[in-house]
Amino acid sequence: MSSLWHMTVSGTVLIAAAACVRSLFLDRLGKALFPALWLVAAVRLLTPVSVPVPVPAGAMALLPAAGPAREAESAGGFPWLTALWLAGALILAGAMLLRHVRALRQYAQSLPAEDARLAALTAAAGLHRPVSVRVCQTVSTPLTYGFLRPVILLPKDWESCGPRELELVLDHELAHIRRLDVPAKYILAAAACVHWFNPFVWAMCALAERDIELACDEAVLRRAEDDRAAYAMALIALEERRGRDMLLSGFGLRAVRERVTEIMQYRRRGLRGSLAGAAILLCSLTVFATAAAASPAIQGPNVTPTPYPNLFASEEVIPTEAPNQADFMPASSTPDPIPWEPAS
Amino acid sequence: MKLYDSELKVMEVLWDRGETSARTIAQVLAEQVGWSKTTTYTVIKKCLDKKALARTEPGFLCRPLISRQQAQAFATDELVDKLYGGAADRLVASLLGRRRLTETEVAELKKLVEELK
Repeated sequence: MSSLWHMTVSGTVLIAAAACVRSLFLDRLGKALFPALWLVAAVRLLTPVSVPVPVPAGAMALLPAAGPAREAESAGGFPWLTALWLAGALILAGAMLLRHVRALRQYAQSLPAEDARLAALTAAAGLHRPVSVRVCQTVSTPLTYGFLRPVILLPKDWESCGPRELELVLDHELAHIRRLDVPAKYILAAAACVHWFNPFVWAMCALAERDIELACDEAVLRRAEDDRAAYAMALIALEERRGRDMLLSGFGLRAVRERVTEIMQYRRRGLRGSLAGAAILLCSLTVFATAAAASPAIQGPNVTPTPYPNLFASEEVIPTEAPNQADFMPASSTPDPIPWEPAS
Repeated sequence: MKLYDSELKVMEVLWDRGETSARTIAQVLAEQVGWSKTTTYTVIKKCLDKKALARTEPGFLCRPLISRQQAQAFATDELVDKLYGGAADRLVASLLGRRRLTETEVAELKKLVEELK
């Protein structure tokens, strides 16, 4: 469980940092940065092994110490926490998979969209993977699925869409394919399953979902700057006719308003913006690596073997000189608040 | 009885060829619309449940129980799964859910576009 705890702490730090960057710079930086930041956090949340990166000793002290969850584990007895966590993760993963497989089965029954315009547009995109455009009666908005052989699904009444709108909508879906958003969403979903108990992870998924769309919008507008209003209107029209989802909650309006605003305020990003974005991403990757490298030291002194085989026992290598390294970590580790947590 | 486009595709094979084995239907549709064998069998099963066709052993021979004209009256534009609204693929998002926008909200968004123009 301690391994999971490390993933939780460093992952949450990355989420909190990304959330800060997002709230400060969403309007000012290229939109591709934000999905990348969420992805770094998600991969960290799913990486149990530490990456051996030399870290200056001083940096260790800055990293969050392990909190109280570990003590509960080492107290002995049946690992209730582990069992509870595992049950939650399995139930959630099962539910997601079931829905997903059912959806895929529906999509498989789609029919090819025989239209020269569509074929020309996808061919012009110049993707390495073969993209097919199909019509599916059971979807109400265009969507993309499939990784190696991506498929763009259009709702049955796609022909009612104006030619320019169709081009923009298709461009958006092609951007999803180009940016490999389908596997990215699988990674996010996996992080949500493993970390179902962590509200930060759910917030990350909700924001990542939005940021992936924003990044694709930006990719479309890069080539269609003058069509901002038409694109925003096409988006609103799609929202208007979309079906009702399983759970009702208030995400709708805020997310769409954000998207519309970002579309209308689209600006070309200069070199400076790209460099700033790259620097932020680099910082995020550094936290990823250092947090991972520091984890053995955190684990250091007071780990007592659990009486039950712990499925999630860390695969980290506990350094033999652990006590020395642990000097940087006072043993009386009070449950630290997570640094950089936004004051809500 | 409501027939969806996918089911009509299977029925069309039967109307064109008369009694046809499930295997042949799968071959025809694999070529025509790129379905896998499993997908075709799933759709055949749906037609069977709706009593649009009858299947007899051996060889899973299928024959249409309704005519082309009858089927046209049954054809539907309705979405099968309004509940999902195409969001089921969105994994996490589908669990978080997202409600449909109200008319007032849509009007508000359109106004926003005008303002930002």
